[in-house]
Amino acid sequence: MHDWLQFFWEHIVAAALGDLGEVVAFTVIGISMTQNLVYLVLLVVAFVVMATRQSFRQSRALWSGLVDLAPPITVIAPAFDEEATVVENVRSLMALKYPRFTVVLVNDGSNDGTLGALEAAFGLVPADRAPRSELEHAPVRGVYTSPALPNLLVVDKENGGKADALNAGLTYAESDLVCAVDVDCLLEADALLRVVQPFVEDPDHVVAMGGTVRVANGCAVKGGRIKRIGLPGNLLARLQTVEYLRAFMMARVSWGRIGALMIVSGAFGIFRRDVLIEVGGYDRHTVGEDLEVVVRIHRFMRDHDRRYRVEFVPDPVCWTQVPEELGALARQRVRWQRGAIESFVRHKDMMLKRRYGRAGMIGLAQILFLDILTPLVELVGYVLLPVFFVLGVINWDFIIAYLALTFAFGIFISVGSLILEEVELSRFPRATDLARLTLVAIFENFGYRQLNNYWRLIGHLHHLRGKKGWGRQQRRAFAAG
Amino acid sequence: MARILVADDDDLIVDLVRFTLEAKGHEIMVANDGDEAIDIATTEEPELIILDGMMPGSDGLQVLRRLGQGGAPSVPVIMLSARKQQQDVVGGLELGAEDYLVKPFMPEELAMRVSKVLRARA
Amino acid sequence: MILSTGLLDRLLQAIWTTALVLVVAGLIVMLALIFRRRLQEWLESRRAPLRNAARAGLMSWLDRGFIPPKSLLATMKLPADEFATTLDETAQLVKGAARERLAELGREVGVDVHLRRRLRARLAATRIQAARRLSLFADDENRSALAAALDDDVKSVRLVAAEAALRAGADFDGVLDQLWDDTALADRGAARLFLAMAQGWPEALARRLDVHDPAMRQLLALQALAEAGAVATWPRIRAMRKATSVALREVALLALVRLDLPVLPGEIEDALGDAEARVRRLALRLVPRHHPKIGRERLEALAADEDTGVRRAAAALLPSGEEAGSHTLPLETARA
Repeated sequence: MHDWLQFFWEHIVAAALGDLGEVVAFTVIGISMTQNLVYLVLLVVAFVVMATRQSFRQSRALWSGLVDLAPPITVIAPAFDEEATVVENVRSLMALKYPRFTVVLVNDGSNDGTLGALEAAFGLVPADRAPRSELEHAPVRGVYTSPALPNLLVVDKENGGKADALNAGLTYAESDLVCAVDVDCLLEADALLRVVQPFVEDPDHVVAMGGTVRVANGCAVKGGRIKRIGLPGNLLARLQTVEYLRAFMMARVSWGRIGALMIVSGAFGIFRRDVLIEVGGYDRHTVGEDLEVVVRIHRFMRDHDRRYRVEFVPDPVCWTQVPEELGALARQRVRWQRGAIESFVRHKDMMLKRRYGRAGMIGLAQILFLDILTPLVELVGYVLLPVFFVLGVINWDFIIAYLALTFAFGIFISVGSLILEEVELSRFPRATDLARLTLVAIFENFGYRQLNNYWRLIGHLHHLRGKKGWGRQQRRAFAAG
Repeated sequence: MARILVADDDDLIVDLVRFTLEAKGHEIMVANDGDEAIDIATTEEPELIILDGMMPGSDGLQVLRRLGQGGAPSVPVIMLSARKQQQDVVGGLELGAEDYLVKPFMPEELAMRVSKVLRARA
Repeated sequence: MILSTGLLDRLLQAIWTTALVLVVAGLIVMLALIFRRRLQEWLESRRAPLRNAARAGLMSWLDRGFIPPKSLLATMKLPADEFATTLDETAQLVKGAARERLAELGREVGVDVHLRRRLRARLAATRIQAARRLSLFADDENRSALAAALDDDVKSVRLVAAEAALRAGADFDGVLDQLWDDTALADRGAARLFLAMAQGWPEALARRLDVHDPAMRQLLALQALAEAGAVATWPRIRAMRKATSVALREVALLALVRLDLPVLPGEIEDALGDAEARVRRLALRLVPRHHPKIGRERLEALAADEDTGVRRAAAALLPSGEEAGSHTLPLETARA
């Protein structure tokens, strides 16, 4: 009897468990390998795009090349409780280099003196403007203009969140193109001119354009502009510097070329106004409205059999202050992940359908695979593979291959993005900055990367629990200097 | 000769204006953005300001407005404006700018207008 | 067990060796780039004084027609392309005699020779830049170099060369004859060239308008003349209202709107009777703002049009009862 039990244990259960373990182990390594191959392809595509793009490198040439062709743009800037900084931010928006543009600042029911600060600085008077769309948004309390700045419009409304404020801004925009910006981001003076280029070349088909967002921490800022690019002293911010480079230089550049770009950053994006209105404006019930609206544009245009393009311009145009404290960063990342999952779940029926073309076949599949699946699989790998190794299910070769895939490849991708930046843009002013970033690109794979996956997991759990709202947000004022 | 403030973020234009006017014996001060222009205008009291329509910080019109505090600025201002920014020119003249030049411009013309404005104020 | 097979072990080995090779290669390239940057920093520290001296020389030449010898020396020591850039940027800021003086200086230090050489460079971007910059030099030698570039393999080079040749004073019809049937004129990329032509030579460009030519170049020419505000060419633009191509008829109407001519209401009235429903719909969209005095009977007739879009648009415009005469523009139809 005893013998029989022992036999059963050794030959049936253990073997079955071992086989199951093997299947799990191979799934993990297979997914990890696919992920890395995707990244490799993206990196190669990004290199090709960057090497063959025809762009005006110098601002002066950009101006003389586009000044006569650039269409009017309305810049929509939602503001919530920004009393301290709003005036300076509006001034810097008004000083953008662009032939014809209007700034619509939307005060999203701020609790502080945001509107008062604007009134004091610009001498607001009621404006006679009728809404030009029927988008839904919280009630508007008043529309003001400034006699001194005829191309500034202030829309004062009740609080409704960022998407709601953008919709209100859209309602009062008049030009064919609108640009959604985060009011606390620093824009390059020629940001509008750079990002509008695809539209100028193909006005009939380009419906949305994004540009590169970079980390402002550590840069010298003056008059609302980046004076000198520098590296942040804070380690977390420095890690994000590399992370943003990788996300924009590698991923968005190539998704844009492939035709599967599913997000235009909420910090800076230009859209055709009529298309935004047709698709129903920004969604007010998601935390990732910048991703969701682009997915919806893809869906709408495909549903109506219209030819369209969502384009990405690699030039850095927008600089954002990233969180320097772990808690704030964690909240941001958890929110991003929830936004990604929400958008994916809402539009998952587009996936792998021929009707939705590359947006469905690649774009949505890519969100599922890279943003949702692989971070979880990687975490599973960290936990299970050592256990399998101890149990003898997998051998040394397997462990080494997995570690190489995760870490060596990770380093390669990060360093590759850095190489791309240096070869094509060379925006970092000093050789020592590059050397420091290279070190960051190596070491971000040990710790920071795992932390990010953990935050994504938390985001996933929050989504499952159906948590709503934005989470607490802290913003640091820009230090002048 | 006169002390003149050149406010422009384009260093090539600054050089161009500086050389043209220094050759005529003027003393040149430089501001690279709007806020700096206001600082220098209030502390150094130039006799004339040459102001670019588009600058970081505060653009030319905002600078004019802050210099004038409602009325026309006490210092004469010549606006430099780019093509397609005609509304800036009109706005500038309304806010009390004495004259304007549209880029591209003739350096001789700039020198001429500067001496005309200075003579009128003398 | 699957794992024990040699094939899998080899696969796993292949994975980690590839990853390691990639990472080492990446790091080596990165190190090389850091080193290159270091070198550039060093070069730059030596070049900056030269550049300042060269620029001072350029300004002094512009002002007095004289370069201090020290500046001239600095100019010669700078890489040719760097001085070409400064010269070009300055040339964009000035006009008139100052531009000619800059061209003279350019010839003096051989910038035009350098640019003509770059006009045959391997990279298209380099050729484009050279062509654009050559427009400063209005002499036969450079004009013929630009004329040769009209046969370049790359479309955008041909377009930029044409624009530069025109700016350098080449004969308008000569350049256009050479380029007229070029495929480069058949897409939006040519918009800039057409705009330059409409700004500088509106009459000559308008003479090329042809009601029987359905090609994209006609459309771009019309748009450019409108954008440039070439009011004097309006009779030829109006003639295009009778073009055989529907798209051209539409664009011609929009061009007249852009030029805001007194004949516009009549033209809109005429377009409302166009054989093509698309043109009638466009004309209807223009009615509220540009032809508010339209007769009620006309709108009523259009409200019974064979095309549903025309019917709907006309019905929307029909004033309801007593409000007759005070049309308001319905939301979102103003996008013309």
